[in-house]
Amino acid sequence: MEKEKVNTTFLAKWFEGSITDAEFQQYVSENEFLHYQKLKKGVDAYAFLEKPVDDTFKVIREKIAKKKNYQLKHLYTKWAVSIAAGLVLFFGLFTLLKNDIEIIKTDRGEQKTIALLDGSTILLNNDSTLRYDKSNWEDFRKVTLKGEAFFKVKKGSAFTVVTDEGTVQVLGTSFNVNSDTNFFEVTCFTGKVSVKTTTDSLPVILLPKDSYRKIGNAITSEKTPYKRPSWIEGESTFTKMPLKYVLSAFEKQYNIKFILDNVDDSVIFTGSFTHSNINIALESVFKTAGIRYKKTDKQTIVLSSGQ
Amino acid sequence: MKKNIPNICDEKKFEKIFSTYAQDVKRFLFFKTQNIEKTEDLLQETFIKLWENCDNVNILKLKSYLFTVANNLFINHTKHLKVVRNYQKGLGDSVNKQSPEYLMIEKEFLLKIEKSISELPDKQREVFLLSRIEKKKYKEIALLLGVSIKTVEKRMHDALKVINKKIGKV
Repeated sequence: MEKEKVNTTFLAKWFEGSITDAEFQQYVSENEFLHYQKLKKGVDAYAFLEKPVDDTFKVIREKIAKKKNYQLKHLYTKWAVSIAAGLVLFFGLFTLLKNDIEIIKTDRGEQKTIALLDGSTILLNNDSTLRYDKSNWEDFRKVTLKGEAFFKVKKGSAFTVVTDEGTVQVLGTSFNVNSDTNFFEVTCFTGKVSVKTTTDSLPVILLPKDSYRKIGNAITSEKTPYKRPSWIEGESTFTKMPLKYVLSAFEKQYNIKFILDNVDDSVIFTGSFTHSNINIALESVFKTAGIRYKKTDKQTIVLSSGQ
Repeated sequence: MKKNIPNICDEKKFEKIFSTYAQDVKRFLFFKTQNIEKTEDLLQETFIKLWENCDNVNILKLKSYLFTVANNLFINHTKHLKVVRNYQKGLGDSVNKQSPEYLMIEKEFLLKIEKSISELPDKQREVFLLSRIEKKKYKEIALLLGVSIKTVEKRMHDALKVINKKIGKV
């Protein structure tokens, strides 16, 4: 009985090192042992090569700093110390007095890429605002978002995205957050993401390809077939989305205003529109939705029911 | 003339260069050294050398500079180990297959591993990645997923079996 139990997990045990090579070899042939040895080495190598290099950079910085100090001591001993002290004082005061809040805004139809200090990147979609505190970034990775953004987070301390509708927390991964009034959507592309809305007490865990959406109080979860959000590649894609939010995204992208004439904006829309040509975009959304559209001036489009 | 070329000696610039090339240099060094600790050491040394010579390195030839330094460091390292002769004859010819140090990990092998991992059933993959990439103990994973340690071990065991089967011959 006991043996049977061990039998079905010996590989796991050996990989973690809780049984020795010799014990492991009782379960496998010599040839299999060789296979598994190579697999173990390969998996370790794979994990090592996939690991972000942030820690390495920290070590490099420390080593460089050490070397520098060492050389300074030998070359300039005394006055180097006083200069260093002066510099420390100067920069100390400087950082104390400086306001380190960074605010990045995008206009309608505009996207921006933001590289953060730890190597994480954020792609900010149109008509969105992002703010974060630069000063204690290394210990406290937190950004506040209004609108939509795609995050690629380097491994490290917890990374938090705060929006009016909820909070998203991760360690290192890539994901998309879209937040608007009464609308909140998070899609996880790699890693693991924890989502906590302002109204729920418990967080929801998203695995790759999971998409979590909350409109008003209605929560839905979907799977995304994409590796990245489509807006990065010049297209907005929607799956079972109320038309209202499709129109809002459209307005933000092309800086126009829709006027609804007898159009039900709660119908569910699945499809996409391009960012490169407004005419093609209009056609692709409204033809499929059976809605007539008419440009009244450069910035205004009147929508009316097709029937 | 030299003034027009962006300076590598700037810390921000240096960090940018590091984040651009470090992964590639790391891979390069690993496939040469076949050793994780050594790779980490030489990777650090490569970029420290770049920093120390930042005044003299042409930013347009940065990539080849980095790989040349990395390669030289690797050669010194092998000399130091007195295995340079073995290296010139071609690694992998006279390997002692009984010791893991001599098992060569090639790029193709890692690609196969990556592919097999991605094809694992969700539950197995989850445990596998938490254990091997996130380096969590089975106990921690069990807590995290709200299942027993035995279940975690079983999933890991099955995952390894599947991967090994898919990879096929060593």
